[in-house]
Amino acid sequence: MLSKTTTLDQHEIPGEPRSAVVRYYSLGALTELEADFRAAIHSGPPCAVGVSIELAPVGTRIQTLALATRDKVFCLLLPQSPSPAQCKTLRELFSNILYLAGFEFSHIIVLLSHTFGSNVTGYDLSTLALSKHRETATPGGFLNTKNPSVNARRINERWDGDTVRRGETSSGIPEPDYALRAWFTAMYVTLLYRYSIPIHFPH
Amino acid sequence: MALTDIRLDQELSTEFIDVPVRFHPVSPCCSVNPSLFPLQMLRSFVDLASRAIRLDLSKSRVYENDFAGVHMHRDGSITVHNARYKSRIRASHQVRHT
Repeated sequence: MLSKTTTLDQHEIPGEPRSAVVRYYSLGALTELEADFRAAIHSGPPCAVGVSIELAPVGTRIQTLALATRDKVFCLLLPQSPSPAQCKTLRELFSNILYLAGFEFSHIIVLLSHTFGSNVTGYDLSTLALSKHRETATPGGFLNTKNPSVNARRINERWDGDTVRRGETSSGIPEPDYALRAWFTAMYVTLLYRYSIPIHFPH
Repeated sequence: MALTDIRLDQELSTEFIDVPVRFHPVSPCCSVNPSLFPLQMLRSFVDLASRAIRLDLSKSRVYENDFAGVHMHRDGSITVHNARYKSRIRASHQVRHT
């Protein structure tokens, strides 16, 4: 069953969609998610999919899986580990993704692969713009190296959970919006083409 | 020790690691095929990845200080105004006192 629908807005990344619809699905509505997601990625030219995950408070279980195109975000809520049948559906869902990308992607794919028991392949954007000290790039820093007009700090604030803007109500501990992370990631891949960053996708 | 040297039933542990560990793939293309790893090895990778994610989340993003004002610039640089000391921030090629 579809839990809820919300909207995300952004003004930080120029030339990209200003908003995206976020749909949340329970594990019981996995087939509905797969159908909606398949329709979204097949409705136009091949598109990149951004991925982000939230871990459960304890252990290594994935609690939220967010997959996004440039204007749609699909969030799967996983209160418990998926059943073998649900894992099969998730494997099929991932097999439909042509270009999967994420930040700190090496962490994400290990957890995805372990959870779904499948081969997962994609691109780590955080290693595409290594600093001179070989540090991985922050999302804001990455985009600012390609487009100096982009406010790197503001993007990083939103990526971390906007603790600064929440001011008095913030504990200083970030509470990231994983839907926003997946959405920003999907938009970044489009920007990779725009700024002619060499990236070779599999055929 | 290569992955192929590890028996399927061999116990692996990450308990001896007391410093943060980061994966640094040399290529932006990442791939994990669970059928190529012994289960214990994959579980160790999962343990490391989850620790790395939690470590990053635990970082505090808000600090108490004497700064009276902060101006952020589009290039990611920042101008701070210290309410108490003019020279509290050490000068460097990145920092300029005004």
